[in-house]
This record gives sequence, C-alpha cells and structure tokens, in this order.
Amino acid sequence: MDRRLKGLLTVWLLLLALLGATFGLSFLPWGAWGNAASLGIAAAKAALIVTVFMRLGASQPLVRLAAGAGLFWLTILMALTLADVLTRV
Amino acid sequence: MTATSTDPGTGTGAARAAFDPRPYTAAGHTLRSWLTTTDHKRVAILYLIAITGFFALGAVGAVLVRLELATPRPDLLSAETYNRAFTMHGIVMVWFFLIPSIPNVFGNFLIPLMIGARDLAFPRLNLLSWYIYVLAGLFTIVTLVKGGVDTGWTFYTPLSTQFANGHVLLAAAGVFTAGFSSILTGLNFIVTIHTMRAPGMTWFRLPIFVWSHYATSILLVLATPVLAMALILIVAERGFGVGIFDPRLGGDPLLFQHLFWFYSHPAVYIMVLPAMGVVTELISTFAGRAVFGYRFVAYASLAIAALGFLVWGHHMFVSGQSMYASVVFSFLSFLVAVPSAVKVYNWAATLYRAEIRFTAPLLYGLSFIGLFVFGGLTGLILASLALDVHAHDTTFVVAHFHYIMVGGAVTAYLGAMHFWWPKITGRLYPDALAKLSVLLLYVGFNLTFFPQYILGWLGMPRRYHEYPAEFQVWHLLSTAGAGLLAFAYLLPLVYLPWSLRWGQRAGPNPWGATGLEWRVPSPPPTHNFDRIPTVTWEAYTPEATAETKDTPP
Amino acid sequence: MTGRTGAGPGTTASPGQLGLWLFLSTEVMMFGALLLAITLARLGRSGAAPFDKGLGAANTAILLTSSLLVAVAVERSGPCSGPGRARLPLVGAAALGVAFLAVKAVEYRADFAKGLVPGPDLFVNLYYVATALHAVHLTIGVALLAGLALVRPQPSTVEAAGLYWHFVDLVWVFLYPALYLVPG
Ligand SMILES: [Cu+2]
Repeated sequence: MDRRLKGLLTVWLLLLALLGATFGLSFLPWGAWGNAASLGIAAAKAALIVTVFMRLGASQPLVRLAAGAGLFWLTILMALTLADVLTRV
Repeated sequence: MTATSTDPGTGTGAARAAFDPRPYTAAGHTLRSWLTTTDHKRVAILYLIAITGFFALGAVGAVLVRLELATPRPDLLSAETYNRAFTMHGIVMVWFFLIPSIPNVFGNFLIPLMIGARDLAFPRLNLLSWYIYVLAGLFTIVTLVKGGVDTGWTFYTPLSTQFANGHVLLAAAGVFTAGFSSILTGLNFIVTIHTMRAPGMTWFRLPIFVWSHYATSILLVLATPVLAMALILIVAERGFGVGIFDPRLGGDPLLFQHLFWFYSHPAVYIMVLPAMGVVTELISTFAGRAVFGYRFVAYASLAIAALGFLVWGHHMFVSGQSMYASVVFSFLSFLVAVPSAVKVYNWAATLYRAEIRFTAPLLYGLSFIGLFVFGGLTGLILASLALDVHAHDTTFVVAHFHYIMVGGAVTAYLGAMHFWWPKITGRLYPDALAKLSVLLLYVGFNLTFFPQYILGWLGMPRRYHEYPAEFQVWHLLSTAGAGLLAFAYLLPLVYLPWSLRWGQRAGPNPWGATGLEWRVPSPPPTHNFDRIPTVTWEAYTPEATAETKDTPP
Repeated sequence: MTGRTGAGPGTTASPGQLGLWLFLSTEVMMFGALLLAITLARLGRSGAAPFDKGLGAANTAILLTSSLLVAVAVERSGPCSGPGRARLPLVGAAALGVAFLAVKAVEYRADFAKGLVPGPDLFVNLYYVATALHAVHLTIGVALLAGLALVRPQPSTVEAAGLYWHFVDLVWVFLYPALYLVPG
C-alpha cells in the first residue's frame, strides 16, 4: 500500500519535472524542433498517466486493446488528412 | 469456460431462481411497461416502431423529390423547397433509419440470444440509447419540417456555415445528439460480445451475424465522435461567429470534408456490414449448409471495417484535395472491394449445388446480393480518379449509393424482418404476399435507380430540380419505379401486422435454422434461456438444431 | 465488481472497465479531430502563440496534481482500506478542478483585455473552442468527484470516475503544448 503510494508520488514528481522541462524549453529558439520536443514531452507525460495513474500497465490485454483503438484510428485520421494538406500543389 | 450453467448471463441471480417461461411479449402490456423496459428484446421492438416511423417520414422527402423530377420544369416545388425536401430525405434516412436499422432492431434482439446470454452487458444503457435516438429524431424532424435545412445531408462548408438559410444549427444539434445513441449501442455490443458469451461459445462458433455486428460496433464507436466534432465546429462557426473552416481566416473548408467523410464513409459500412451478416444467415439456412469459408467470411467483416477507415478521400477527388492523396485514397478504395468480394464468393459457394429452399427471406437475400454487387461495381468507377471527374456530383453517384444503401441495406433489413419475424412474434406471415413484395421491390428498385445511372452518365447533376427536356424519359421511368418501390415497402406493413393476429403460429424453429436463437420458444421468454446453454458444436452444423427440429413450411 | 459470466474463453476484463475504456477511445477520437484542426491552423500561421504560457503551465500543474489525488483516492477505495478514506483526496481533486476553472477565467479576462477575442483569428478561435470543450468535460468531472465524496461509493465507481478524470487531464497535457507552446 505504502509502496504503491510512493510510486504514485514519484510519477507525480516526474510529471511536474516534465512540465518544467517543456515550459523551460519553450523559451529556447528551436523553431520546428521545439514542436518535436514539446510533443515528445506531452507523449511521455501521457504515457506515465495512462500506465500508472490509469493502471493500464496492469490491465487485461483486451482493455489495453480498447484503449489503443482510439489512438490507432486517430493516427489514421491525422496521417491521411496531413497526406492531403502537406502535398497540395 | 469455468462458469457453469447456474451463472446467469445478466448477473441477476434472482432471475435465475424463478425462471419465467412466458414470452417476453407477455411481461407487461401497459405503455409504461414498454417505455421502462430494459429487456433487449423489448427495446428492439421500441426501435422497430420508431424506425418504421422515421422511414415513413424520410420517404415523404423522397416522394416530393421524385414528383418534382417527373417534369423538366420546376412546377411542383420551388428551388428552396426542393433543397429542403432532399435534405430531409437524406438526414432522416441516413441517421434515423439506415444507421440504426439492422443493428438496433435485429442486433439488439438477436445478439444476446445468439451468444447465449440473458441480455446485453448494459441493459439500462440500451434503453437510454433508444430515448436519445427518439428524442433527437423528433427534434430533427421538427427542425426539418418547420424552417428546414437546404444543405443536403452533408452540411458542407462554407455553404452550411455562411450561406445556407434555415435551421442548420438545430439540425446539426439533432444529428450530434443521435450520435450518442450510436456510440452507446456500439459500446454495448462490443462489451457484450466480449464478456457475455455462453460457455463453449468461442469466437469461431459465433454466427457471422455476430461477427459483422462486432465489426459494425467498432465503426460506430470510433467514427461517430469525429462527426460529432465536425458538427461542433460547424455550430461554433455558424452560431458563434468563431470561424474554423472560413478561408478568409486561413481556415480550410476541406478539413470539414475530411472530418465528415472520415465518419460518413465508414457509415456506409455501418449500414452494409450488418446487412451482410443477415444475408449470410439467410443463405446458410436456406442452402441447408454451413457457411462456406466461415473464417474468411468472419475476417472479411473485420477487414471491411478496418479498410473502411482508409478510403474517405474518394469523396474529395474534385474538391481540390492533393493529387497524391487522391491516388492513395483511390488505391485503398479498390482494396475494400477484396473483402466484399470474399463475402460474395463465399455466399455463392455456399449456394453452389445446395438444395435451396426459395423462401421469401432468401429471395430478399438474393436480391441484396444482386443489387449490392451492382452498386459495388459502379462504386469502383467512382473510385477511379479519371472516371470520377466525369461522374462526380451527378445522379450516377446517387444511383450508386442507393444501390448500396437501399438496394443493399434496406433489402437486407426486410430480409431480416421476414426471417426473424416468426421468432420475434411467434407468427408466420403469408408466404405468397411476401414473395410478391420481393418481386415488386426488385423490379421497382431497378426501375427507380437504373435510369439514374444513365442520367448521370449523360450529365444530369444531382440536387437539381429542373433539367433539359430530353432527360424526361429517364426521370419518368425513375418516378414510376419509385411508385412500385413504395408498394413493395407498404405491402409488408399490411401483412406483417395482420399476421400478429391471424397468422399461423410458429414453432421454435420454423426454418430449420441453426443458431441458439432457434432453440428457445417463439417468442422467447423474458430471460431468454432457462439454462444458459453450453455450446459444444461448431456454427451452422446440424447439431445446433438437433433438439429443435420443426417442420419447415 | 460488475456481474460477469467469465464465459468467453480468454477474456477476463470486467464489462464496466472495458466499456469505460471504449468510451475514452471515443473521446480520443473527438478531441483528436480537434487537435487535427489545431495542427492545420498552426501549419498555416507564423509567430509565437499569443496566450499566457505561464498560466497554462500553472493549470497543467494543477491538473497533474489533481490526477495524483484521484489516483490516491482509487488506491484508498480498494477493499483493504477503511470506508471513507477516499473522501479527502476526492474533495481535494474536485477543489483543484475548480481552481483550474478559476485560473481559466482569469486567463480569458486577460485574453479579452489583450484583444484576443473569438472571431477574427483562426488560431484564437480554435483556442476558445478547445479550452471551452475541455472546460465542459472538466466541469462534469468536478461534479462526479464531488458527488462521490458525498456518498460511499463502490470501488469500481471510484475507479470509473477516476479514469474519466485522468482522461480530462490527458487532454490538457496535449492541449497545453498545442495551444500555448508555439515557437516564434
Ligand atoms: Cu465512400
């Protein structure tokens, strides 16, 4: 029980650290790389929340499938729409 | 597998203790007992009634359109009224008839029976879904009749956000709300099929009907929210002046089309996949055989669902979409033909050299195959980049999707109605009349829509209420066909209700069909199964009917 | 525990949990479509985002902390802990939700003062739609958590509400960089 709690606190601290990182990095003149960095950090935060806070890491494979379905089809929506928008002449 | 037959499907131990053998129809006769029911079978009946009503309202729009087009001059309706008539027809038929038709009536009624459960996983959610559907539907109907909407069912921007008159906002709100009903139904089906199957009912023992509803549910759950967002953004732009798709702000009207078709192309499969499930059951039953290539047919359902998400751009070939994206979308669209063809070939192989019983339900099923294949093949023409430029926005497109959605989905819906009617009501209907209505349907449908292919190819644009005089012959044929088709739809509305009182009583399995639903009495008892069955046989095998052989009519 | 036959071979997920995750997947698709619109708007504009990224970061920290409290509440509502132990973290999380909305209100005021009103600018318009939609979800979440703090809920109910709350947090985790952190 206490160990669980300690785990949650650690994740929370990690999340705040990532927030600090993304906030700090946004002041650097990185241009497009800044986008990649902030998106990567957001993905890392999301992964922490989903696996630990939402306990998906310890869930049944079927539940993980249900959770991943949205992400998978969202990728399709994004990829094919951008395939149009980025290649218009 | 560990669960024993004493563990009831709904988790209500009390229900098991005192099993009520009376049919579900006897569980209460008051209006209140129907409006507060959570029995999946009764909710299915609620859907059946509501859907029939919406079908009639959608048909009114179609009648107006066909009457106006009987003459080249705009003499019956003004341009404005004509636009409102086809918009009403489209919105009502797509969202309030076709999308919920087979899943919510027959899926609701049959899935728990077919998998050996006492109800869906979330019975109250099921009833809630009906209320959302009916209220959203009534709201939308009132909106469309008073004030009206003239954008077509597609709500394209900037027409819908900046130029259209009428109640776009309210209609969008109605469709948005109906989406929740779709999502809840899909979610309910997926969870039910995963968690409520009877002992021994493995995935590959499920009827294809269940597989296709599983695939449909994935589409309902994952595509509908994108439509919801597209509608929210329309409301923001039109209602609150918050431009999203407005080109003057740098917005992209094509983004709306992307979001809209990301839903609306899969929506076609929401209509067709359940229809394919129905047809598979019909063919297997009346060929008296297991489905040929069961696993291929099952996987084809999933393949259609998955590929169906990748092709939406074929609606946008002439919209200014990137040429490169169009090439990809065109190629992927051709790919969808593969699993569809797998199904058709397997149906043919199931029928090949079988002792076929040509009953009314099978005739509906065979009509489905003919009309669906023709609609599908002309779809390939539209998915071709160059040919689409010629046919785009003509009545060729209208004919194509009516072959799929009306010739396909509606015909299969009627096939399902005639096949499971004895199960649902415990009564048989007059076979000759049913066969007559199939005949009328087949002739009437082709007469209505085949001329529209020709008109479209000759250059008749869709959504126009007047046209050059030389087109009139084809338009007249089409209008006459619509009259026949109306008869074909009205006839069952006479003899099916008639059968409720005067029809011959049906035994548990009047067709000699397989599937768990045929092992319970007709109509089934409220809790479906006295004992949850333990399945030890494969789908569509004679063992499945062993205990319930009934004299086929 | 929700009733379950355990009949389906190889499946042991509870219906409630499975249904909830499917529901969250629909939410992913909905907000995802919005993120796509934001992405396109960002592709079409130049210059840094005009919004206060300090306040945005503060709000992110508030939500992350509320998520921690909700996770603790779920932990404490388990079968091995005493009744009512989940109440305090639930109240705390709901209060943080209200704090988020308060910060958001302050921020909207500042935006308006800077002339960042809904209407003339595509990116600003999407900012308002996205944050408003998120706020609606958050408000529902606050009501849920506060409601659970009042009654003595089933562990599965706390877990379900918790999943929803984490999801609202998750949406913000992506909205923050998408709307506030646009390189100049
Ligand atoms: Cu399509």
